Amino acid sequence: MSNPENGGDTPPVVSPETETIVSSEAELKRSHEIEGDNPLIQRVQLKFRNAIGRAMEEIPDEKIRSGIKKIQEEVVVLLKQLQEKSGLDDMSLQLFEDEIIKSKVEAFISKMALGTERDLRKQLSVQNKALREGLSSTQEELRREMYDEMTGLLQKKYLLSGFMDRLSMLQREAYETPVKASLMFFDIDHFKRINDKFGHQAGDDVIAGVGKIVREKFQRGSDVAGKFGGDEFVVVMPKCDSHNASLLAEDIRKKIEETKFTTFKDSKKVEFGVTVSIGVLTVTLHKFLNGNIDKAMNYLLKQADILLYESKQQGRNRVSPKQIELGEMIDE
Amino acid sequence: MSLNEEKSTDVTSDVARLNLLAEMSGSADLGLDVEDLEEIIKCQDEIRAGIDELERDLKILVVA
Repeated sequence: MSNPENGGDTPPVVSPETETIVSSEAELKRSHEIEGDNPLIQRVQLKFRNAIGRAMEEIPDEKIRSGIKKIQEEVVVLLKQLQEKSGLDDMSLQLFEDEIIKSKVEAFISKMALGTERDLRKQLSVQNKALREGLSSTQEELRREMYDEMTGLLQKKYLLSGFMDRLSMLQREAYETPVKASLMFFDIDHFKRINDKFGHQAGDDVIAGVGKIVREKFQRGSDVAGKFGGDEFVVVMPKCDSHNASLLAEDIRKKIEETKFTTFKDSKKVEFGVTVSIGVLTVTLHKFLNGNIDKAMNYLLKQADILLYESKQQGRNRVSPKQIELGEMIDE
Repeated sequence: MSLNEEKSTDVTSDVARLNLLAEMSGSADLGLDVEDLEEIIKCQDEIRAGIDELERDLKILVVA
């Protein structure tokens, strides 16, 4: 049905009987080849195409394609029966076709859409559950790896890693202007005596109790608190000056001193307390380190440990603070 | 292809089917909220990627 007047293009042809837009002669020919020359079948196919806005071969979804094909066949059977029973000629029959096809297509699409949506929501719900479980189990595994089971504080490896991370961050800032950070290093006074006198369970309870107090006290996201050794604890406090660090250390010392632990000795309930000795090192970081964060960290830990030792020397259950400048001494 | 990937593919084909059905329905309201479902799938993909990343971190941490 080419049109030589417009350069051979094939314009859509509107069939007045069916109001169907036939896009090309080739398409009609294809319909003939597939379904034969039955005019009813051809007409139904074209009307279906209009109802769904595309040809059957343009439907990528196999379920939809086979569903449409099935109802297309049902409509042909229905129309044939109607024709036989009513005795209507082909022209009169066409009056019913549009309504039948429209309602069949709408019902099919609606049913398939609702079913698909229901299945999809069900699948998503199952997947959500699996994802939640997967996430929770991975987080739990990560938590077990990083945190000390007894205290809930970071294990030494991750405490040091967190310390390095904070120092790197502060080093970048110190390049512009000096920044302060504080480091608290403490241990439990006469811890060995507690173990010897009340047993290891009592010792573990003390460590867990101290860990809880530290966790509750240091909740800033930037602070890094961890267990350094058996009964040693370290807290890194970026952007914390000497005054505030000493106040925090004193709070911790007091809270631990006031805490009562209980245990059983010779079947009798015994209540006891512990104290801690604390070293608080506050450092002013200048443009420094030449990238040697590792060396700086070890230096600061050593200085804080010396302060802790000073607290012990001075009678225990006390805080020993000190301020230092850090820059040239690391470069030496 | 892992089990999760297979499930994800199934879900994607269902969404494609819903989109196609919505197109085929023309102006008729099917009462579907395909965008909502696509958003849920997007979130799931993000969570899945988050878990993968977390698992990678965990392997690094354990080895380190």
